[in-house]
Amino acid sequence: MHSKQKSYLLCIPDTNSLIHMCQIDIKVARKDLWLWLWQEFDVKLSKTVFDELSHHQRRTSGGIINKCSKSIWNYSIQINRLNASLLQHFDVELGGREDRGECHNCCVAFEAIAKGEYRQVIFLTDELHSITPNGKDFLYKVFNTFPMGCIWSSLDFVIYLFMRHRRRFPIDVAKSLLRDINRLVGGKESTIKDRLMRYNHKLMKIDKSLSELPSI
Amino acid sequence: MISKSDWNDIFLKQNPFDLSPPTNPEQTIWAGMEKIKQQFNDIFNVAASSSATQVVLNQGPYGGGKTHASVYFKCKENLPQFIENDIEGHHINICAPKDPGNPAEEFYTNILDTIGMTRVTDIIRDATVNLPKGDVIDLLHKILGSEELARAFWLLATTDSAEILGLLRTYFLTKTTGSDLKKLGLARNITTARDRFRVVVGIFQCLIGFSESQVPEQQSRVCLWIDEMEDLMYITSSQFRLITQGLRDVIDLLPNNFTLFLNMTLADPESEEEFDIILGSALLDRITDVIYFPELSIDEALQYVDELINNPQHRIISDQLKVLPKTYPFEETALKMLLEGLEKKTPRDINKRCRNAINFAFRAKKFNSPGDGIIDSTFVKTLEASELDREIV
Repeated sequence: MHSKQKSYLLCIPDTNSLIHMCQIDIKVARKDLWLWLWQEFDVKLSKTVFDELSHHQRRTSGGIINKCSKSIWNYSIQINRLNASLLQHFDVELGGREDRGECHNCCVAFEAIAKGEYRQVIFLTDELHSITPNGKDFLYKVFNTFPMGCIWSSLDFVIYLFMRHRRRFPIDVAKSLLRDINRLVGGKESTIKDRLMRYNHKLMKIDKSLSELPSI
Repeated sequence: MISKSDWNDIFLKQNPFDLSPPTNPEQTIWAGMEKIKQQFNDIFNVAASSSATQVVLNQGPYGGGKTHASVYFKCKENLPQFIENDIEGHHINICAPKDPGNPAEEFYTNILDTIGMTRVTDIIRDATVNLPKGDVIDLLHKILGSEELARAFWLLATTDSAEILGLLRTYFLTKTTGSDLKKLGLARNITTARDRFRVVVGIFQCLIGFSESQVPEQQSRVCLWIDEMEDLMYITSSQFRLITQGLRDVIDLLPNNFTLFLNMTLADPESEEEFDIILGSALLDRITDVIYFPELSIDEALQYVDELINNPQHRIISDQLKVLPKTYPFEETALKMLLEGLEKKTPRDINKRCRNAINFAFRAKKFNSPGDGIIDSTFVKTLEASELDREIV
């Protein structure tokens, strides 16, 4: 029995989502967007993600580097063995060089759940190609196979924050955040447009439905 | 390569099926799409009978004819009959800014470049020539919201010095040095987005005129067409606010004799919620009319092709044509077959398919001499849809 109350939920942010959040100059209730991650969740990330973030100092800030340095999870899983096992049993191959940070964060997720430190994880990434069902979708396959939690993009995090703090997070600020993050996430013009529409639609529906529940 | 004589064989002067929007308003043809044309005519008729400012959202799929319309109605002869005689219209066509760095500046430069600084000078001179200096400065000060900008306008209207005119060009189009500002007797440059939108308002007001009369015949109307408004989705929220609020100011500061056409590519008739995402509430609240460019039905598509190929600009009149179908070089059933198989019946896709079918027919040596040979159903059946819808054949 632990004396300290245990947090059941762990957020594991990827390099790109942290960089995107740092590049946003809109504040949510007078706080930087990235800071809200630590405000809302336990946050842990792999050393690889921290190193990648440190290499992008011009696009980040001292504050986030400092926070992340204290949030590194040194996992003991051997990534090669995990990869071989996933390939053998589930025909899932962890990403290549360009998805290194996500692979290592995947190890954090496995260890956090398998060792019983956390019940569920939120895997935060803006590499949308790795979470949508297509050829390069290893994260989607991993989370679809192992019930470890869910995958969010920074856009989902904005929606979550809006839902949680609607009274001090005006919808126009949320719309601006969605517009700016969506632009940074990028993609084909039609993808950018469709995604912005989809998230705005969701935001407005949440706003409407919560406004009908004055007790919340 | 298809030569002029090849086109002559099918009684056409040239290829009538363009894939890119026209550039010359005088040579732009309106084919089919009568309902949309009528909607535009209604808007121009309202403009002729009332001085009120209009904000028109033209919405439709890619290749639906929005840009085509903006070029077509630029030509005075293409406006409804009584308007061309009564009202002087000034059509300015630009694209929405795309530069994520400074879209307000891009918008401003686009407008000044499109009109041209020489013309801008003439516009301001013509509008102020009969007014005393004090009145003009006061009037411009009120419109521009800045005495310094009003002085710059006055200087542009009155100076004969080539040196001062040169400095003013730099002042309006980029930024002058401190010593040049001194020479001009101006205290500051045009620096903010607000300044830029105010200058645009000032130029438009000079085009419209300063008469206090609300009678449309006694004033001009400025029609600003902004194409590709959907591109505003790709700029940052802070720049988006600047642009949409700037446009809102232009609309509010020009309550009379101004028509703003916003062309926006969206596949389906969208809800107000989606317009809000793309245009922002500042602009959305000011829209007075919406024209939707739908995909054409099969009958509308047939009418479109018929009117396009038989337009005097394209068709070579010949006695031999009397015995040929109206849709020549297409057999009517073949044309229908060709268009029925089209996934999106937009003018652009119709043009692409018809152009490619003719090109394939030329390659297959279907036409040997004028009127000899036709694109029939048997030939259309031999063509693959993927070949017909290719951009380049």
